[in-house]
Amino acid sequence: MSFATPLGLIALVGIPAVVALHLFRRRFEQRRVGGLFLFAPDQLRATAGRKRTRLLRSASLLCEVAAALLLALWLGGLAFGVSSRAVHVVLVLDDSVSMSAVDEGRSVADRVRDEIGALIDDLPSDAFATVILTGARPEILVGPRELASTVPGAIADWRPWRAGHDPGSALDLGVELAGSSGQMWFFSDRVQDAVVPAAYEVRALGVPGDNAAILAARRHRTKEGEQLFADLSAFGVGAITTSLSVHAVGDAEVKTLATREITLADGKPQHVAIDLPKTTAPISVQLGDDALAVDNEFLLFPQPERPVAVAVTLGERAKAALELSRVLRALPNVYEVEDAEAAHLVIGDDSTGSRHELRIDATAEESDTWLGPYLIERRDPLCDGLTLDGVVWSSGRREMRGFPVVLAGEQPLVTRDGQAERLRLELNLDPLRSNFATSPDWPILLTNVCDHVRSVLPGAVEPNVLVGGLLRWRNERGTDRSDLQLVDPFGHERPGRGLDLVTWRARYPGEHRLVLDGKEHARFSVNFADAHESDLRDAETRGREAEIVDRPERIAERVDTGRNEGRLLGLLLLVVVALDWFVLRRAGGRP
Amino acid sequence: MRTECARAAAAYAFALPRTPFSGGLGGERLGSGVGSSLEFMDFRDYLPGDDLRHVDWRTFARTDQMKVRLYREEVAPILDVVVDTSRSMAVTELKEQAARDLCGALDEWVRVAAGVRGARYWTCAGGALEVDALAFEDADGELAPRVPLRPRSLRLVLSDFLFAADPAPALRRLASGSSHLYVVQLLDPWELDPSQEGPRTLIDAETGERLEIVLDAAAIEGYRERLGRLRAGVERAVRSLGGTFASVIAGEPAEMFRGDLLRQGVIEPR
Repeated sequence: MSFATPLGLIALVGIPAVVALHLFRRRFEQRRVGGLFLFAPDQLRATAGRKRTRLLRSASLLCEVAAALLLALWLGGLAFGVSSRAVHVVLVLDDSVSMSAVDEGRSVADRVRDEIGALIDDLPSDAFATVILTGARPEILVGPRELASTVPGAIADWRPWRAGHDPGSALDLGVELAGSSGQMWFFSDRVQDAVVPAAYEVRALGVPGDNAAILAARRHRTKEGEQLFADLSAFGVGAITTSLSVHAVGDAEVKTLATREITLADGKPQHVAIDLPKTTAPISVQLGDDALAVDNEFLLFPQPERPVAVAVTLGERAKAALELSRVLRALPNVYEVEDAEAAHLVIGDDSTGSRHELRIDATAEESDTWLGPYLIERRDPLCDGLTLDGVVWSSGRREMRGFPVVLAGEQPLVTRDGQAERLRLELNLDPLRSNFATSPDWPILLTNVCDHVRSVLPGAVEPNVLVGGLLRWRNERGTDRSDLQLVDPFGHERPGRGLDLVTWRARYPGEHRLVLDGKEHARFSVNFADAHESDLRDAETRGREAEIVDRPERIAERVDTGRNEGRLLGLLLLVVVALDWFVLRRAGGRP
Repeated sequence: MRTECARAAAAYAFALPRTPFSGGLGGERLGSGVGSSLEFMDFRDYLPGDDLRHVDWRTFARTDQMKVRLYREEVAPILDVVVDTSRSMAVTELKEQAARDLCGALDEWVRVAAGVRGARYWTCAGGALEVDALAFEDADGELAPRVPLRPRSLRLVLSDFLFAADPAPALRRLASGSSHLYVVQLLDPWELDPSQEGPRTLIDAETGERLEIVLDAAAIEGYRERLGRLRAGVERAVRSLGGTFASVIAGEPAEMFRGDLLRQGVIEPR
């Protein structure tokens, strides 16, 4: 028994409440007398209004205090002896998307809710429960140790949304919270014997079935229009024939762009490319209905162009040697500007104080010429794709500021300074005496730098993300957008994390809106893609008992004991209430 | 008057004082003053204007002094009845009925009593009272009526004397100028002997004042002690004024009449 239960505590308040009522609202049987002054004349005083009077130990008071105490004990879950420990059950719910698979109109999550409802009904009123959702970072949905009766309400809105993950960390957390006296159940759509250790009791409520899924989709602009690339897969006993349709989802209407019947071989991804007319509307890629609806649709917003303005302050000879104008024209969404103040990126031979700088300078008393090998920091995205094969690199022999990302021997050739918000990349390069500008590495490096600059431009960083990914919004520097709210497909708002770069973890598939003060600033599309979760062939309805922890019979025994005590308290409560009623009736409603 | 009350009252008559008393119109009872009855009372010197028939000629013959014979007067007593019509007299139905029975019976007793010329009834507030239309609605505990009572009248006061003020001054005012004062205190059986009823809200019948109290042995003991002091005080005051005090417990008429009323001489067997 524990008075830590809210209902028990509330009922305890009844005792002082009853006493207060008897102190302030006492109504005795009245008797008219001729000589009131003969009765305790020193007690005579005005009786207007409520006032506290001496507490009388009347039968009614005793009955009502006893009733309040019994009610508190009942709600607190009084139990005697061994069974006095409150039952604590830990329910670990598989939060992966496959729990949303539907069979005969009911999802696995619905069946889990029913199962948990029945389980909670069988527990004593004072039982505690903890509900944990699996995930890379387990989430405690209820508890720890909340009243079990609160669980059905808490899981009513539960929507499994995560991609495939290891439930181990959630199970470990569940074992810790259950302790030695608790019981733990793991609810999933498959037992996963290999994943879930035998010490855990598993209730698998899945139904095996065929399912086709979109594993990836992307839009690509062409000169004439757009191309859609999609990776499809089927998970069934044999090949699955389904329909594939592509729609342009405008604000006012949905226009079908392409439709085709498609047969997918079992377990083998199929790449599909579809030519589409040019459109700025979101494109929806849909497969035909099957058990799991969430992997049948991909919503793709057009990629924002986010052009990068580049200013070159190098000398004419260096600029010509690096063929900067030609390279910049070749890069998509990059254009050259004259004014360095208006540029996002400044390429020069000296520091200009701009936000992002690419400094190319080999000024030194002595110089070296390198043929390789070059040591390249592959972890840095700026070096992505760089090989420097066949590059002759002429550099000045001098100290360089920042972290080296390309070295030749002990001489840094490229260093990086500053954080993402303020990139300063320095190339110790003499363009006139090097063939770096004629190698493929130069446009690659420049592309990487421009991509980096583009990634920190204000606005939505990537409009199409997968479930579990990050929705990112970059603020203008110096602006306070802490009130930005992400509105998910269910209309729930939640604030983001971060100041300059505000992020939200994408939980549910569908269209998300970014709003500030009621005004929409951006839209994101969150799509689900996980081949493991789309594969429902090994889903099953089965239970597996735990090998070590308490047997359900022991729980049932505790439950029965608690019920007996609850019945006894309930009976006593009824007797006391009836006695109080009888006393009050005899006294004509007065205590 | 109720039949049973009339039947019980028929056995009694109002008992006039044994001693001569003054007042009243000419009647059948010897008064304490000088009158024209046949009963000799005293001699006094002749004064011009005295009736020569009352001159004692024998004494004149012996002493040569003119003496006049004085005879007792004959009076018919008059009765003023002051009834306490405060609400406390009707605190229970039994007490209210007892008060009505006493008033009704008194009317009958006076009627049959020898020589009494009749009674007038007054309320404490000073108004004339109709016995048949008694209403206990006054909230004022003042006992003596505000109108002057008739001089040398017999006066009977019916009250419970359950008021906090000292009753002696009121009784003195009532006794002043009267021939004799009768005081009847009427109490309800519960007022005389309250029971242990536990917690109660007591409401004063006249003031509406409330008191929440537990009627346990201690509270009742204290009440009895205070009531005893009050009754003793009333009786002492009446005795000191030469009056007659009777305490009546409300109940059946026959029980009431043969109790203290008879013992103390307020009434006598017919």
